[in-house]
Amino acid sequence: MVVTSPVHIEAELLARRRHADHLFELEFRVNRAVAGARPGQFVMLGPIGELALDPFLCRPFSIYRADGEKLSLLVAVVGRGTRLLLEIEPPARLGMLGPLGNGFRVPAAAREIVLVAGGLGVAPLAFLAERLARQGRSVLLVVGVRSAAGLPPLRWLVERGVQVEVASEDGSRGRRGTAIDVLGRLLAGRQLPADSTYLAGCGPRAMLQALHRLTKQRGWQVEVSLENRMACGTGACLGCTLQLAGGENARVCREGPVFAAGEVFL
Amino acid sequence: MSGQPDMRVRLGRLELDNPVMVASGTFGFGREYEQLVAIERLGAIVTKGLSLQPRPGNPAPRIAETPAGLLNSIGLENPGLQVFLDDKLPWLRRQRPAVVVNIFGTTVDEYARLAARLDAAEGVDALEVNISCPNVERGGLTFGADAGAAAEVAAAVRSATGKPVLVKLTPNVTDIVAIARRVAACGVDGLVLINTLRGMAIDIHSGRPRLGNVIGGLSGPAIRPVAVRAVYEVAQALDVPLVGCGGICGWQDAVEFMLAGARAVQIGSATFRRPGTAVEILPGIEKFLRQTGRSSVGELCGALETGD
Ligand SMILES: Cc1cc2nc3c(=O)[nH]c(=O)nc-3n(C[C@H](O)[C@H](O)[C@H](O)COP(=O)(O)OP(=O)(O)OC[C@H]3O[C@@H](n4cnc5c(N)ncnc54)[C@H](O)[C@@H]3O)c2cc1C
Ligand SMILES: Cc1cc2nc3c(=O)[nH]c(=O)nc-3n(C[C@H](O)[C@H](O)[C@H](O)COP(=O)(O)O)c2cc1C
Ligand code: FES
Repeated sequence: MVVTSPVHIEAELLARRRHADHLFELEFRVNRAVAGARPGQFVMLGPIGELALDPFLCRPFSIYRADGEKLSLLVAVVGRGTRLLLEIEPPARLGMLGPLGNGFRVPAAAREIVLVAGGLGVAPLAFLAERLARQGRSVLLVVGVRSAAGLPPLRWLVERGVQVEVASEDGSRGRRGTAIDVLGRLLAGRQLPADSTYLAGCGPRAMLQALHRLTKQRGWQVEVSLENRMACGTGACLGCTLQLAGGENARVCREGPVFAAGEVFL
Repeated sequence: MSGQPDMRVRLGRLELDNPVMVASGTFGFGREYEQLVAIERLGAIVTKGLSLQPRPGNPAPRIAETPAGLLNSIGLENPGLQVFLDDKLPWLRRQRPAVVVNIFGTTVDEYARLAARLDAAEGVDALEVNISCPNVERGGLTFGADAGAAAEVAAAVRSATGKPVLVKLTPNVTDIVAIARRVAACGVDGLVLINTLRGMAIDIHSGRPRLGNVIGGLSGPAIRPVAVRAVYEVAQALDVPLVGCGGICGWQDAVEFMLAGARAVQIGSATFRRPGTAVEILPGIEKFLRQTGRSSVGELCGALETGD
């Protein structure tokens, strides 16, 4: 596996597009080192307001799209940092550290590829789906949201050949239910071979746990992408350490954010 | 004034190419920043706190951002002495900066044993004794907050090693000078001021503490005035070399600590915002020295004027 080493750059914010009420895409000009990221890797963005000391820390965001020297993030307004970030008018410059973390490891032999996103978890999985589709591999992306209002654009993925299934809890778009409900229905009765089936999930922890429960008896390779509070993003501060199912420690920013589901959940 | 100012500093028997170090726990074992920071330009690398045996650390969440800083409750997670010697030190020893190993024990004897083992380790230039971690139940603050216990640890480490010894003090005390005095009397090479301040933050929506360990250590610019005051008070009272630490983000902050009485400084949390902070500070200090007609960084130390 080729892992690009991270760099710290001044990224140029080129555009800010509103996709939904609280959901924006930020497009940056970066450099080839950062844009050479693998799906599942992330960046630390900030500080937000170079001279302002509050917010103090950078914010981790998954890479949503990367091409040439451009890179996009899908950012939801959560708290003060993201609110201030989304008030920044392009063009502007922001510190960016990346690419960080390990990224998804889709086996070359995988023929059945299913990606399951809950909410903002769609960001890294859209990137992965697009890359796999570009290689001519068939991909199913299940995107779960509370309601249609929380959906990012997905048509660009469909145009590239990704099969997209939307699940909304209120039934306002696609199939009614959670991403896991819909996944369960899609998988029911299908005999996917153990050695060539790959699943990846990104979303709330409870969703990832449900994904593990649904799939653990099947022998498929299943990966999940985790989040945790981060200070450095580089493995230095041990702020993002989690205890894995086997009792050992792992840094989400370094050993992760992508883990085998069986490493994380019993 | 022409020419490059002399940036070398001396802390007891520890000599550094320049006064800027990276603080323990914020720079891992150095290699995490190998590709991101011009490591050769640092005065010293202070490692993550090391104990004899590996420690798993505290439950998540371990980080909570607060105004102009953060709380952490890492709990001294570290791989233990043997892994350090086998896997971390070989790389560190090849780097140009001095290698300062931050050590931590739960008993005086553990500190002494660690110091003795590290005394024999080639490539370790000095020890920094952490008697100030707020995030562990035994050890840490229980030593650092009591002048007698602090001196006992300092004396034990001092006699266990011939290497330079720095002792890192906690601000979580009423009279830091009293503790500094007792520790300095043990013949250590310098004091590092300060470790984090005990703090707490609550998520009002969940009604839960924002740290898994409930209470943590506050760092970042929020604590800088406390740290500058600590350096000033100790510098006024004692002759021991001081290293200032707490919230330094730019060269101006480093100069502030030096004026208060620090010979060297450590950069901690600011590295999280900008990995290159520590090395980027150096040219700023040099320029300030030239502009103020000083030929060496040592001239800043304690140059504070408090009269009219
Ligand atoms: C590997 C990784 C990838 C991520 N990818 C995305 C993404 O693609 N799009 C997106 O919108 N968000 C993503 N997040 C979550 C994003 O980092 C948080 O929403 C953001 O940090 C919130 O900042 P705030 O100041 O608005 O919130 P506040 O709650 O005010 O933040 C306070 C502190 O908590 C931290 N924090 C809050 N929520 C989270 C969280 N969920 N994960 C980690 N730290 C958090 C903040 O960084 C900050 O230090 C990702 C997180 C991680 C760890
Ligand atoms: C995440 C984190 C981990 C730390 N770990 C240690 C440690 O292992 N040993 C120690 O002596 N100090 C530790 N510290 C304290 C710092 O070295 C420093 O004294 C403190 O953070 C104040 O400096 P700053 O404001 O520049 O960060 C840690 C601080 C942080 C933020
Ligand atoms: S965020 Fe610092 S080790 Fe992961």
